[in-house]
Amino acid sequence: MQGRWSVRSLALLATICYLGAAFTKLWGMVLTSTFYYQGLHLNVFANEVTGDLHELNILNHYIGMLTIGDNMPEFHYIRWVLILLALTSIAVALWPRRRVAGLLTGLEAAVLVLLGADFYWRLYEYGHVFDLSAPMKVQPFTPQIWGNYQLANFHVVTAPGLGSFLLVMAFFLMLLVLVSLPKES
Amino acid sequence: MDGLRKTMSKVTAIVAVIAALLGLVVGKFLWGASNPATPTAAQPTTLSSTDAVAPGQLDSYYAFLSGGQSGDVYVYGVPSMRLIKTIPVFTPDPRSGYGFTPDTKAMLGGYTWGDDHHPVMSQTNGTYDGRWLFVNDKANNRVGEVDLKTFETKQILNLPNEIGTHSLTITPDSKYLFTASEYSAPLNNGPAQGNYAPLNAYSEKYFGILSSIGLGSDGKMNLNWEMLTAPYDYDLAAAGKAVSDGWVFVSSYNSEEATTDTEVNSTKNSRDYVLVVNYVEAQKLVDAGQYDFVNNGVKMIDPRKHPGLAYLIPCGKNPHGVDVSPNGQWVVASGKLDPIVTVYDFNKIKAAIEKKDFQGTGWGNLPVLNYNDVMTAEIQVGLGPLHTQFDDKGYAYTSLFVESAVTKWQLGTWKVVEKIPVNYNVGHIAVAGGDSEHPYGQFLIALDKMSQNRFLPVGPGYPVNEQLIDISGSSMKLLREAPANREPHYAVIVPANVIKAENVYPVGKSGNPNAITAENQAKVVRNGNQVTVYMAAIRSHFTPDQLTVKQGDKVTIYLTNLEQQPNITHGFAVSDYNINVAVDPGQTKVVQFTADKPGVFPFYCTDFCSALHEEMMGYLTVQP
Repeated sequence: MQGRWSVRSLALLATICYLGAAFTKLWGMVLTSTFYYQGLHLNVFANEVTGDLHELNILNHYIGMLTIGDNMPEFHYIRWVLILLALTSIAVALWPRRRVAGLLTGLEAAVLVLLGADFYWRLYEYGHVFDLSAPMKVQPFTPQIWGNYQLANFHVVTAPGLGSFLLVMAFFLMLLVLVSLPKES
Repeated sequence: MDGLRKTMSKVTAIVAVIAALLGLVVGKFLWGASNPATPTAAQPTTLSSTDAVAPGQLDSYYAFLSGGQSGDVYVYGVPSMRLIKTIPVFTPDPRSGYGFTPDTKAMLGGYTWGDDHHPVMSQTNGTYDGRWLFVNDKANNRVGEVDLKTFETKQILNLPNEIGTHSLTITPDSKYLFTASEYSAPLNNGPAQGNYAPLNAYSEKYFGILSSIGLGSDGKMNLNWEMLTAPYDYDLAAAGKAVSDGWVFVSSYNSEEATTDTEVNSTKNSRDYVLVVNYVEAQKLVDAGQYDFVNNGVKMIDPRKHPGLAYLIPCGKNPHGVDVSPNGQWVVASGKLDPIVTVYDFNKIKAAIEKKDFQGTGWGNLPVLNYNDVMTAEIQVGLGPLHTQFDDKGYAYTSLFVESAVTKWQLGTWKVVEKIPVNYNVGHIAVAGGDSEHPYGQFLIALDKMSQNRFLPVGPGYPVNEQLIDISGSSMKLLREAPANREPHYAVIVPANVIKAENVYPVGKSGNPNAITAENQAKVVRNGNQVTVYMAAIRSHFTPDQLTVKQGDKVTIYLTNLEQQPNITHGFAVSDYNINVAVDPGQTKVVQFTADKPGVFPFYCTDFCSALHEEMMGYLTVQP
């Protein structure tokens, strides 16, 4: 049974990772051009989006994109969802049973997939839902989640932030917890 | 099996920790990488060499040149000598609306020009601090102040009584500015007569004026007091520093008190005077309420009634400059018509005053110090010495107007070490920090009055020539030259990193109750025939963009530029209504007019802002 202490610490580490993800950047985008030589930044956190939103929205209005801001309902609950994930990992640390771990890790997987899908949907939405009265018409697009590409006059770099890596790590740790626990008869 | 599991979980724990650490590093790297995407070009850097400044590179110094009769201040980059900005101070500027908006119009007080001569930079402990720039208007007797965060004129102070405000100097602690009258005038005789007195009463009824301006910690100027002085023509002023702190020195010509044919009649005496004033004592008098009278609302001091305030020192014939060395000990004056500069030792001046070692008395029985007792050196510098500056290595530089040259001489040995020709007829020279306790040296600008064959011919009216000279080495080197509109008189040169310029006005931080912070606050308020518009400008539209008023309505537009991206200025012009303002990002400006002409008048953005800049327009319709 002493082996369970290292399993508990893995689950605790996963807890910390989930909590970290709730408070660090999940995704970022930088658009650089000759004029915007310092780059226009967009940073997505669990509860807000920060960066050069004022300028990005001014530019986006020319093609009729939705206004980027913290008015999306997701920003009200995603931090709590991540905290909930942290709590599920704590539960495994407190009660390191294979059945418990299986159930909760499965739950975490489902939540993470939903979060990812929602994020992708939002990216898709920003690149496909346009105000048709905008001065410029553009081909619908979906920003790449992890990319480095040219978009009109902008060089675009997108990448997951530290928070997303913490999420992946947390889930990986929980899988390790799961396989390390003895089968229960 | 249990043992194996135990080992397994230990191994997985270690692997997990390593993976986690690795993940953190990778995550941090990517997180960092997704932050500022390092642009491959156009990242400006600051040069500190005297080499040419390549496109895309920034200068290492600012030079603020007085604009002379343009009433502006010119901002050049040094060493490239590129003209970066023209700051309107005393002259309306139709490009920006300065002098046309109600607030700036009131600040200019109805004057349409100025004659700025001697810019000075605010200092802290005798070092340029980059907060404010002050410049005097000789024509209309004012001092203007430029805020160096925004590079906009912040205040204009009128100097009643003083006529021909030619000089300006600042104390090392930026508590006081001093300026003196180049022309003398009678005191005010009441509203009916103004300051009239016949010119044949010049010696009795006319006075020169030395003004003391107090400077608040917020940079607000206040006129503290003015001092009556002999009716001479006061040219330049220099505040003491270090050992001479608390004193101000003012050169003067026309001790002959000539009022006609001045060219001939003011050059008869072989000596003129430097006026030496103990301003600390003068300030104490005023603080104690012991000023002598009030003229045009200003507390006046008559030094003839207060021994110990003012002294005269003989100097070369018709001097221009008086300058104080960085350590405050050497006071340098030169007569324009003598080929020498005289170096006075302030310690000797102080000792002579203490011992009452005077050669006689001058105007109003003011003591005249004995020239030979306070003079340390007479240096043969060349013909027409006007003005002296100091560097960081113990050298002084004097401009030679007649000779068209700058001469370099050494403090202490009093030897001329080098002379460099300039093109042509240099008035002032400016060394970086050259009038402060801590000069930076490195660069000198010769502000040449004539430019003859130096630039492509542009008709009979010539620009002046600003020549940049490298003084960092053992010999002076002419680096480059730039034309300027007539005509800068003096310059302040300051390292670029001393100036903390802002690049936008933060929206919502102006404290202006008429500013708006979002487009949806734009509105039109009608009150009888008063129409007040709170208008937004943001790429690429105005909100509202249709204004309908009745003929005769008084229209006030508070226009806020809601941009926060540096460089996105919007203009606002109304066709045929003679209106234009430029509004910088985050700024709010006021446009006021009476809609006296009926018809349709498009308004549009005059500052190119975007691809749809020309579409940024709207209509003012004035119903008959």
